[in-house]
Formats: sequence, C-alpha cells, structure tokens
Amino acid sequence: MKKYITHNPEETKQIAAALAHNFQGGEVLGLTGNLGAGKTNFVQGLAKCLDIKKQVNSPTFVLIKLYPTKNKKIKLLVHIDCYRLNQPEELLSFGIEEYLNDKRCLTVIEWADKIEKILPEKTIWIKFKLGKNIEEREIEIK
Amino acid sequence: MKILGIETSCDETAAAVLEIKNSYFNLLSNVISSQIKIHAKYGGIVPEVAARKQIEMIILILEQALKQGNSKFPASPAGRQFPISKNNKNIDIDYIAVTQGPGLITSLTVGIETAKTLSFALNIPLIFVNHLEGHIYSALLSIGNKNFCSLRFPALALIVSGGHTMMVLIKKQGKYKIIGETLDDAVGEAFDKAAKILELGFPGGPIIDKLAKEGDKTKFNLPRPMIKSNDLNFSFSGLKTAVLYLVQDLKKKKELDNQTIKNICASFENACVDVLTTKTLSAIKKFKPKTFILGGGVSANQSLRENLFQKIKTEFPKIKILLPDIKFTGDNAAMIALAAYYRTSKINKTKASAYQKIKAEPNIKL
Repeated sequence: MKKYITHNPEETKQIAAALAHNFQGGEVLGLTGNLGAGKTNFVQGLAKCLDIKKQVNSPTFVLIKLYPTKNKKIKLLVHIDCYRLNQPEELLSFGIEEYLNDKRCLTVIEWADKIEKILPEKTIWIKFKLGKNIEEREIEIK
Repeated sequence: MKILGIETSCDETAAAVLEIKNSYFNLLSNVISSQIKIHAKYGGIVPEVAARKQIEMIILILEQALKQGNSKFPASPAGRQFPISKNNKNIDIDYIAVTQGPGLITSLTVGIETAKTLSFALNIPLIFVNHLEGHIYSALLSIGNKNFCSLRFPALALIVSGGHTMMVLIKKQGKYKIIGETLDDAVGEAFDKAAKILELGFPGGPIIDKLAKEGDKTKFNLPRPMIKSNDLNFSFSGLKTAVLYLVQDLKKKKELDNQTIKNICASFENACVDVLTTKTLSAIKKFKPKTFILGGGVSANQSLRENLFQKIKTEFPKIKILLPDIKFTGDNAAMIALAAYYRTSKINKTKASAYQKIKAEPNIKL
C-alpha cells in the first residue's frame, strides 16, 4: 500500500500519470472518496499520460465515457462513474464486463465501492480523502 | 410537412408532432413523461429504471402525441394497431426524427429502435438528430408560429444542462464549432451535487433556484473557477468542492441553519451565473455573432436568464437574444423535430434511409 499527499490538482494528476506509466493494459482501477476529493482529476492525469487529446470531463451524466488512445498497449480508456447508480447490476446492462476483461482497456471507475461485488479480484483500489485544506488531498493506493 | 420527433436520451420519454407550412411552423403536440418523481427517491437517475420505464411509456407517449397532433397515424388508435402495409394512405407523417446521442445508451436505444421499427414498417424516412442540436433550436420554438427562418448567422449558443456545458459557434446552418466546454463537471451537475451536499434533494437546479431567491448572494464569497482564463472553457468542480468545505465548516460550528442554506444557494448560483455570463460576453466580443441562443435544462434558471439578457442587451444592443420558453428548456421532442427539419432538404425521400447501420451514440460530438 502506498500513500501520497498532494497539494494541488496538478500533483494529483502527476501521481496518476506515474502510476499509468507502468500499466500493461487490462487494469481496473476502483476510485473511492467523497464529492470533490479529486477522482475526476486523477482520471485526467491518466488520460494525459496516455496522450489523449480529447477533454476528459465528468461522466456522471452518461455514466460511461470512452477515450480511444494511440498507446501501443492500452487502446481504450474507459471512464465509468457510479455516482448515480443504485444497484451494481444496473451497470451490467451497459456491457461493462467486456471492458473489465479486455486486455486492451484501462478501466477506471469512480464511486467504485458502490459496485464492489461485480468488480474483479485484480482491481486496484485507490482511496481519495480531503486533506487539511481546500487544495490538499490524501491518496491511498492498494 | 409533418415531422414526428422522438426523444429518449436520458430520463424523459417524449414525442412531438411538428407541422411546417411555407416556412412557418406549428407545434401540434409535445408530450413529455417526466420521470422525476421516480428518480427523486434515488437522488439521481437510475439507468435501468430509466430505460425500463421508457419501454413501458414510449407507445403511450407516441399515441398521445399523434392523437393531440391530430395526425392520421396510427390508423386505428382504438385497436392500437399500427398499419403495417407500406404506402398506407392514412399516414400523413413525412419524417420521423429521433435523438441519436449523446445520452445514456440504454435510454437512447429505446427511442432509436422504436423509430427504426416505425420507419421500416411505415416506409417513412428517418432522421437522426444530435441532442445538443435540439437544445440549440429549442429557443426558436418559443417564437410560436412566426417564421422560424429568422435565425441570423453567425450565431452563438450556450448549452447548459446536467450533462453539458458548452459554447457553440454556428457560422451557418448545420455548421457547429465548439469554442468552449467544461473541463470537469457540467453546470447542472454542479447544481445537483451542491444540492446533495446541502441535503436538499434531487433535481438540484429548481430547488437551488427557489431557495436562492430568499437568500443573500453576497454572504459567501465562492470562487469563480476559470473566470479569468484566456479561453472560453468552464470548470465547476472546484466550486462544488468550495461548497463542500463551507458546509463542513458551518456544520462544525453549528451555523448551518435554514437562512444560511438559502444564502449558500444564492451565493453558489451567483458564482455559476457570473462565470457563464462573463464567458458569454467574451465570446460575443470575440466572434461578433448576430444571434445569441441559450438552451438546455439550466436555462430554466431565472437568475441566469435575467443576467444574460440584461448584460448582453446593455453591452451588445444589436444582438438578437433567444431564450427558450421554460417548457422547452428540459429535454423534449419538439426540439428534435425542429432540428430535423433543417436536414430534410438534404434527404432523398425516395431512397430508403440507411437506418439499419445506425445505432445509439452515447458519446457523439456535435
């Protein structure tokens, strides 16, 4: 387990980018933490590392946003947001299992604790906490 | 010409019949089954619930829209039998228009498959419409039965809703360029999440709008994210976080009473309106549009409407300002039918539509 303290959104993005650097494809990241804890920010960092030019913004409304990449191993960043979900099974109707099992995808899920029971063993859990001041965040990677 | 519009991109199931005669249009019917009551329980929208509800609703909504629109199709509403034979003389719908995206895939599919089925069975050409294009044209619906071709280009559209916050430059009919968008949360989403933080319920927009009227917007100085950035992009995530910290702090001090909540609502709303207005004015200065259009669910917000109208009127008196009627701010099918009308000239009616190949596009761009 690793723990980080970031002091601004840019540092949160950098931690994401450093982590993504070692990814081979097929990883599933489960992000947890309250509103405003830096989850979307973290995903923006992943996207930057994968050289995605399209603006990555909140998927709360459509639940899933897909970003194709030009990366050799990871061909697709799958950004899921469970904020509005009630039952984990509801996501299955979107066919998320296909992404979770695809070696060409990097799947990152906000509010992942809501769908814990349908996520695979391999899920890397990343916990976000509000810090001592408005800019500071605690990030815990399991 | 009559167009049947169908819209099921998120939580609404909607159908409308729009008649166009000699460049004048007449909205014959506009039926929306608001599902807000069902979703309110969950503090949001539940996709499976939304889609399942839409499957149950869509035929009823279609029937009602066609009946109110005094349209001859379906031929026998009493028996609820859609005429299957092609070239049926009882059909007076010329086109079917349906939302292709963006939206929730499960919801979009309900409308699209229904539209495809009707198009196939009745041999009526099908037009796919981008939901955002619909919001752009929704302001024209308010003009009523006047000539709608009065949209003067270039036009600038600000689309504000639960899923979108963007500024679109329209140089001519059908040519859209996104000149600014949100880098994180949509403004409607920020309203919903701020309402959640304040434990006010769902949807947050109308609740905050109402409480803000009784609050003092100068009580809390909330940030205006990116207001001074040299582009036309938006950010609302930081504002949401600021509300979160403020509420936590006030809770600790036991100062979060009803009036304080109203003051937070007013201050939050004011921050949003301030950013949206400032960016709109810079866009107008830069691109010198002849028309300004507001659209999307958040355009129902009174303070936003008044502020935008006043400021634009004062600084750029020559611009024509189009604000949608409140009833057309949310998702509806009339705007989809109208957006489709502008495409009809390009569609060869005798050729079968290539609808077999088209499917829902939840992340489609404008």
